Amino acid sequence: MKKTSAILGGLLILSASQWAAAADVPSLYDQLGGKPAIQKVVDDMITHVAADPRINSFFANANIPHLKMELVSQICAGTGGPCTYTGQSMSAAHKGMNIDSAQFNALVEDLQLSLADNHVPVGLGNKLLAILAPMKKDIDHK
Amino acid sequence: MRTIKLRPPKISSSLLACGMAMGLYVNGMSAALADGGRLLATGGATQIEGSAGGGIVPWALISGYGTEDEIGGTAFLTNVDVPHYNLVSGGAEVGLYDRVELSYARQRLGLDNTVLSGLGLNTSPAIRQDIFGVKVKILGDAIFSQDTLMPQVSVGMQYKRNLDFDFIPKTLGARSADGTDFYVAATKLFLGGLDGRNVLLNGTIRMTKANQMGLLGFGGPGNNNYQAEFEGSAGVFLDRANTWMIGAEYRQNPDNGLGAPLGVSLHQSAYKDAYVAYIPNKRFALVAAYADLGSLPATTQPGANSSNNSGMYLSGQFSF
Repeated sequence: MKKTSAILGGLLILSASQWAAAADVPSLYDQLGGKPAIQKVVDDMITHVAADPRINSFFANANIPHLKMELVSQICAGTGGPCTYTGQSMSAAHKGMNIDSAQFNALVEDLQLSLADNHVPVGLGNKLLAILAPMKKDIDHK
Repeated sequence: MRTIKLRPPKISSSLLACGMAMGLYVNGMSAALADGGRLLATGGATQIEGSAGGGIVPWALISGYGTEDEIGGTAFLTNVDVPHYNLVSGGAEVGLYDRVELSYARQRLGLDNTVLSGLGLNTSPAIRQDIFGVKVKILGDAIFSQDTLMPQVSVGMQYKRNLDFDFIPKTLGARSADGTDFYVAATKLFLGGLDGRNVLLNGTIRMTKANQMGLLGFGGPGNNNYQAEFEGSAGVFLDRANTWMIGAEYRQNPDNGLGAPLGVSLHQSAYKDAYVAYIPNKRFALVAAYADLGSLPATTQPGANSSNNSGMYLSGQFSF
């Protein structure tokens, strides 16, 4: 019983820290270093993707500068930056590509490599991944 | 009566040798097998009964690194040394399409020669059991559903068959040599959940009659009905790559009044552990823990009270 309440207490602390974060801490966009830092992370991620035989064929015929621009705008908007994402919805953009979880996860791993390359603090990287993770259901198996 | 002398250092070195042999085997296979497509650490470790989980608690995660299009799996070996007892557990799991997990484990509990002194015996016996497990993920995604509080939920069962029931478990009053545990587990990863670190929380409810997981049989003089028991795990990943994790676990156990026929109180209490997991890649993981296996009798002298037994838990596993 005691242990159960300790675990519940732990959950409360978790959510409390998230509420506190919402109060007056700068946006994740600002903490990451704004648009130049996000552009660098996206650039380096695409470099890793291009060298990743698990998924690079998907990007063989892509307009890479346009893709990078859309990704930056999407991350900027998702992290509370001054951008509006005007690209396609995730499910429309990936329709017919038959991406599976292994390929989605490969991209996540390439992003993790880029976050490491750019010395993005662990906590900020994790929060960025938390914002992007729910997109999986709109990207896989479309 | 066959006498088995248990020397923990020897057990440890055989554990190491076994681990190295498994390593060679898995390295041999890896030429033919690509890495599974799931993210690092998302297959969990292997708990002491052979299901994907922490050290003592089964989680909702499916073993190995296979995605919905892949088959994954894990082989594990675990050794726990507490005063008067040594527990070795080894086995394997197969994860089918990140949906179904099938597992087998063999456990061996070695007793030192003081434990049975109350029966006038000076012997170091062992009690073995086989555990066959199945787990099915029924809903949710522990990793990617970061926009909701919905955890990943799995249901599972562990069929256990005690191979040495007639000597010790039966003498202590256990009713059956075999039994089946049923559980539901809910697991969720909170990315950046605690000061930016990734946090894993798991809660499991288990219906069971097992005495010491079944090593002392099922049911007893005080109770022979299923009891609902709570099991919980919490862990924090320390680094960006999710290579290092620390955490703790708690597992309730039923108290079926074992020992009554001998006038000994074997009150069964909860298990606990505090662990460090090292997951350098998708092939290998190592878990070290300080584990409390609850109260176990140091002797079976009439009137003797059992005391809590804590010691070192060490587990290695190979996955694909």
